[in-house]
Order: sequence, then C-alpha cells, then structure tokens
Amino acid sequence: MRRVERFAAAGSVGLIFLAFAVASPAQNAKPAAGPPKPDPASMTSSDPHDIDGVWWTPGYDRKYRTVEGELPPFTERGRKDWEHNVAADKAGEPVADAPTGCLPHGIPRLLASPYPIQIITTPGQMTWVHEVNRNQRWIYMDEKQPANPPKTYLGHSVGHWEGDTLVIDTIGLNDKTRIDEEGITHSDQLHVVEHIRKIEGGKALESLITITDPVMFTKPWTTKRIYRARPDVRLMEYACEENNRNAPENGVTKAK
Amino acid sequence: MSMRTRVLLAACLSAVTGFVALPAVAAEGKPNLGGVWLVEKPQAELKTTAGKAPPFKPEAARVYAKRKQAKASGGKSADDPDPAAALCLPHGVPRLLNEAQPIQILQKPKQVTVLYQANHQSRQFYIDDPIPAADSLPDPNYDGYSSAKWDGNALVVSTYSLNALTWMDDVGMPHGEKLTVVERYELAGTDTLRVKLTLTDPETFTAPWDAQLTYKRQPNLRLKEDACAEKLWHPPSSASGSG
Repeated sequence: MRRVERFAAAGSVGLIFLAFAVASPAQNAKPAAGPPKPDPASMTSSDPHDIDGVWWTPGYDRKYRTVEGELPPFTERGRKDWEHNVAADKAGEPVADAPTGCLPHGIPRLLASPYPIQIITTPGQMTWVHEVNRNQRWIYMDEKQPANPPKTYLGHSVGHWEGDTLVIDTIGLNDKTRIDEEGITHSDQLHVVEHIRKIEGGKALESLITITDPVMFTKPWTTKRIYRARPDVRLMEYACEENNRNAPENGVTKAK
Repeated sequence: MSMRTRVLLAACLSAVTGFVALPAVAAEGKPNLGGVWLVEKPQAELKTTAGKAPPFKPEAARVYAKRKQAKASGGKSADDPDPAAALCLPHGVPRLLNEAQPIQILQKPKQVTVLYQANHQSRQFYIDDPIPAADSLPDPNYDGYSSAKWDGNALVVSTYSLNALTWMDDVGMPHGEKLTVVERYELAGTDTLRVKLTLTDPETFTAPWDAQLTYKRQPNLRLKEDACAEKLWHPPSSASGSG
C-alpha cells in the first residue's frame, strides 16, 4: 500500500537534502533509481488561467473548519453525526468511510488529501488526477450542471473562469463519504463550490471551498486549502487495494 | 484554418453540443490522439497479431492453462484470484489496454496521460524521457513506468519495471518482472486508433511477440465513475453514524 511510503518520503526529504549537502564531492552517492525528474527551475506559467502542472498541499490537516477557524454551522443532525464520529475515533474504533475501503474520497474530503495532484487542461475539460487512491475529477468547462446527475463519490463538476478565479461547481455527490477525515458528515444534497486562484506569483493555489447541505448545516460555510506548485514531483502509482491494512471490519477502521 | 480558429470553433461546438469536436492535428503539429476511445474488440485471451497463441515457455503455458480452466469453470480460485476483477488491483500493462470500458487520452506536448474508466486508473507517458539503464530501474509496480517518443505520426510508449502480480489478459496470461511492453499508437483515419504492441519477457516467452488492438473514437461518450472496490466492501451512508 502506497500511503505509508509517501508520508515517509515527505518526512525524510529534509534529511536526505542535508545528507547530500554535507557529503563531499569525492563521495560517490548513488543516484536514486527511477526516471529523471523535471527541472524544478521551470516554474508554472505566468498566465493566471494556466494552472496545469503538479500541485501538493503542504502538511496534512484532517479537519475542515471555517476560514475563521470555527466549527461549521451544524444542524442538530450534523452536530450529532460529528460528535458520534469524534467519540468513536477517541474510543479507538473509528467509523469506516468510503476511502478506508479504497473507494473515492468524495468532495470536499479529497481536496485536503496530502498527496500530489496533477491538473491537465484539454479543450472543454479540466482533469484533476489525484495520486491518492487514483481519484480522478473531470471538470467540464463552460457548461451548465445537468438537472439530475447520478449520485457518485466524486459527483459531477462544471467549471468556469470569473476574472482570474476558477470556479468549480460540484453536485451529484452520494452520502457515502464525509466532509473531512475527522468526522463531519454530509447528505446527498451536498453542493460544493471551489474558488481557485493563483497566489504568491503563481507558486501556489488558494482554494476557497464553500459547502452547502441543508440536512447537516444551517447555512453555507467556507473553508480553505493551499496547494504549492511542485514541478519537481511526478505522480506515483497508488494501489490502496494491495494489503489494505485499514480495510473496514464490521464498519470500523482498524489499523492492522 | 489557424490553430486559434480551430480552438475557438471547438469551444463554440462544445457550448452548443456539450461535447468537444477535436481538431485532427494537435497544437504541436503532432496527430491528435486526444479524446475518448473504446477498444473495438476486447480480447479476453490476448493473441498475436496473426491471431495465434503467444510463444510461451512450458511453465508459463502450464500456469495459463490452469487459470483459463478455472475461469471457464466459473470458479473463483482462492489461492490464485483474478487480481483486477476479484481484488480490484490495478490491471497492469498490457491488460489495462484491453478492457471493455472507455479510455480518455489527454495529449500535451511534454506528456500524454491516459485515463482509464476501469477502476479509475491512469498512466502518464513522459515524452522523450530516457529509459533508465538496466541496473538502475525503479522498483516494479503494477503499471510500471512509461517513456514515450514521437516516431513520425506514431506515439511509441515503452513501459518497464512492471511487477509480476498482474495478468496480461482477462483469463490469466502470466508474466515475470522482466516484461517490457512497447505500444505504438497511430491514427488510421480520424476516428480509429491502432495500437501495436510488442511484448518481451524472456522468462515467459521464447521470443518477443506482437499484438494489435483497435480503438474507435467516442465523441458522445464521457468517462463514468467505476467504483470497483464496492465489490470488496459496500460503504453505508456516512450520515447515519448517529442514527
């Protein structure tokens, strides 16, 4: 299973860098096996509408909170669900959700994932290939949402540009995923709108994620994620199904 | 017609029809392989271009015959299950090319990405990426690593570092970790894509051999979510935790 390796790799990058920095030129460090990496100096395009490339959120925050850092405006049902999931987590018996069974993460949970994303734009379509569990998002540009798309894990997404901000609208989400890993839930009436723009001279993307679900929240609320440009990174293969040590048992995720 | 006009035209058609009419030539002057495709005649048993069985070594022939027999009798072999169909593991190459589900090719100047509807897989082909020397290959995985180059109008993809955990076809063709696969993608008209495969694995076959697949363009088709892992576990509503 890939997910452990990526965490280990992320944690050891600094150490490896230090090791290379202190090694004398005479020491013949064997280069890491694998295909050559793209030149990190080739930064992303200066065009605000060109966001093609590899992006990666720094660190991992498994909780979504409002941009003000507060819990979302829960309905009574939404609060009960969240309290139930947090209590199960604390008791060491976390409630299994779709990605623990190698199913797609759902939107917006996928957007917090600490794995690289490659964005690829082709005529009429923007594709987000997420390394984590091979999630793929197809965002159809300048189209209206269909009236009743089938309910799926990743829903149906359409996008358009408003000035230099990309707006992605997602509906048609089933209720088998959560808002976040910690335990905020959603119904199949969930509607997610992402407002994405380049910041820091194109070296990062800011995404403001607005979540509407009348079953779980009393009003729409907005959370935020940042993604850093990573032209030095290529997506790796991810085979969640291989020896899935988190495979759910009787609805509980047990680390094995 | 200039490229800009073509792109504008495509955008207009997209707005009207909801689908994109693709220009025959991509921006960088290469044939445009981009779009949604479906393999015309999936081969459950992968055959040579001449329609024959590949040149198996005896042990590989024995394993293949056993798996084929298990498949034909409808049994699910507990000690040798179908890795992709039963366990939802990645199909591997070449099996992934031969599934009866659509694929989408995303063509860019430095990279061609293929999205496979089957179990939400994708492969990345890096254009003009050198293939590492035999003693510095990365550890094998299900889909390996792919380097591509344009040879005239053909996109030639070389794939190496494939693990031996996958089947080469739907009925159990085995292979070892020395398998290399060369795929040659070439348009035969605007709506037909031919892929010629060269398969080399000295542990499994007595000689390299060729196979061929034909894909048809699907201008009215879009990829759909394929949640294979529901075969392993069907998640309940996440919103029912507190009942």
